Amino acid sequence: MNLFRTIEAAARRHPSRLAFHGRLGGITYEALWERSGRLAAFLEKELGEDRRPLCVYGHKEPLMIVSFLACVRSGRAYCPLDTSMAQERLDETAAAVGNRLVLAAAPLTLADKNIQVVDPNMLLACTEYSGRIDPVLENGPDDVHYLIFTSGSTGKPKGVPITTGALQHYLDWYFEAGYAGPKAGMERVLNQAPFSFDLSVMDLYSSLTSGATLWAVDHDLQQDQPALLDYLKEGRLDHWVSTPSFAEMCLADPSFRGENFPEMDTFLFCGETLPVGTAARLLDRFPRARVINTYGPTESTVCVTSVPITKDMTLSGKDLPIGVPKPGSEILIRTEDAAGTVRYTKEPGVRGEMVILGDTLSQGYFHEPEKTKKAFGPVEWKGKTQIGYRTGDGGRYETDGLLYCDGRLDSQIKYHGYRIELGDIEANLLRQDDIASACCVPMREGGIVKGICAFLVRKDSMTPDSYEARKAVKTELRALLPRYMVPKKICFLPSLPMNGNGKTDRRALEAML
Amino acid sequence: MDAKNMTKEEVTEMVLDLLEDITGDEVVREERDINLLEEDLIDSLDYVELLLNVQDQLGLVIAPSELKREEMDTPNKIIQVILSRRDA
Repeated sequence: MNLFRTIEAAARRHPSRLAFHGRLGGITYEALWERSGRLAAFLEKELGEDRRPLCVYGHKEPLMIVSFLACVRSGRAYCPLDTSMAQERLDETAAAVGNRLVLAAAPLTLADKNIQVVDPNMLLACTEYSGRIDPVLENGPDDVHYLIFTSGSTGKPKGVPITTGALQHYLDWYFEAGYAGPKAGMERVLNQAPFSFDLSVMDLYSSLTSGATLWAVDHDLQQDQPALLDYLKEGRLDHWVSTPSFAEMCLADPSFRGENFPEMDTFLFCGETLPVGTAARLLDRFPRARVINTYGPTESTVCVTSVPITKDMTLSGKDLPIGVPKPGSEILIRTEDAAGTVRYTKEPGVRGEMVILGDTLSQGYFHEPEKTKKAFGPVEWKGKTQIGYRTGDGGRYETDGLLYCDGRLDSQIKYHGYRIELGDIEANLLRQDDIASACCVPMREGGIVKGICAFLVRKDSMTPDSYEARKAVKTELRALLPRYMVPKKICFLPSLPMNGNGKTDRRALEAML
Repeated sequence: MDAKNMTKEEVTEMVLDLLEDITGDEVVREERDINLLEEDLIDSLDYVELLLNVQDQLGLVIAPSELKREEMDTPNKIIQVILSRRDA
């Protein structure tokens, strides 16, 4: 597809329909197209030949998406920055991106006074600029569409540029698979993730290209459960895009069920492992909706695999599959033997690192040739050499033809000399009937792992904590795992803490020890 | 720290803290006759760690080989062993 023409057509078809709705304001399709075009013309006049990416700062304001479209309509990438980011991160990112302008949909001050912040009032005025944008200037398939800095658990964030072409390949798949577009019957879509987290690309662009309304949840609302549920019900959502943690939080409210969301048709998950219990409870409470699990790193445009989760899968006693790669992409399992010989395979049962090939890959990290070389490199497959991205995630194909994710390879810890994959323990904890979610963290003392603590949320949060309950969890685990992998400490919590992106906050849990 | 200058209650509290750390469960505090071995709350590596900590924090040297497991299989027995060593 050409996403510009597709969004423009949606604006022609439904000019007065809301493209975006949030507690910080909304905007119709007509206004979105019109204002983004005028802002694009302003940027072109102001920046001329300077085609560096532009930082766009804010949270869930309509001006955010107006600015995103304005950038790409003037042939420039945008780099979304969220209000939840630390000031230091904002300053660093604005400096790294390098443009002398920053578009701010929310009040912003930057340390570098040479960077001009276009504040919210000025930005709004620029969307009323008298000029018109020439469609010739729009991004082509090879131009960078967005630049997202991945937070990364350690070290400096890396900028991941994604081209308009990669985004269009991703959307083609979504239309074809019926996750968006005419087949999906999409009218109102949940936006949970902040725009600085690429999960939001899934809802934003599938909604805009389908002519649907994006129903945005802001940060404060996410902290206020009763108000959140009311807001979600009011949205009469038919498509849901969130992290599994966010859905889990909603499930804690008994009114989060099909009767109160009669239009709900599809749940799409990405960004974290989908726990069996979360999927099972959704299928149970929303018998008419489908639950789709997806997988993919930012480096390959949001996600590259998908699979509808069935009730049978949730009863199989295994972890849930991440599905099959989309057309145009391929996932290989990379293994390396003791002699350092690297092999790629799709043979069932072989565990290794997942490597992604295909038409939605980033060309590499922004201004980081060394890091790019480490993660992106040539892969020989079926007699052809292609660029592959090493995800750092473990995975395996099974005989059912589906891929399963084994978690981060670098989340391994060393305990009493054993290499332990925390995700492995979590997957086994989630096989227990009464456990809704699980997060295992190392208990460190002076940098040494002294044990593992499992933080657990039970399906029935009213069950009192007791030694017997903690012991039962360990006893059941001992039947499945070697002794050294059984957590020393079991902690029941009413819910797991979430970070700004709506993922389980592992650092906050470690800090509780 | 020297156990000789501590009250019986202080020693008890310190041992319970250690046991709670090592077993990872506060039950050792609430049920002091719980059998740590039968309940799988402690293993041989944990015993070594316990005795090393007793040496560090209470100044009492107890070699792992000196005592039979049955003599140290509940929080109460462990506290008794440590108190009797202190008073010896």
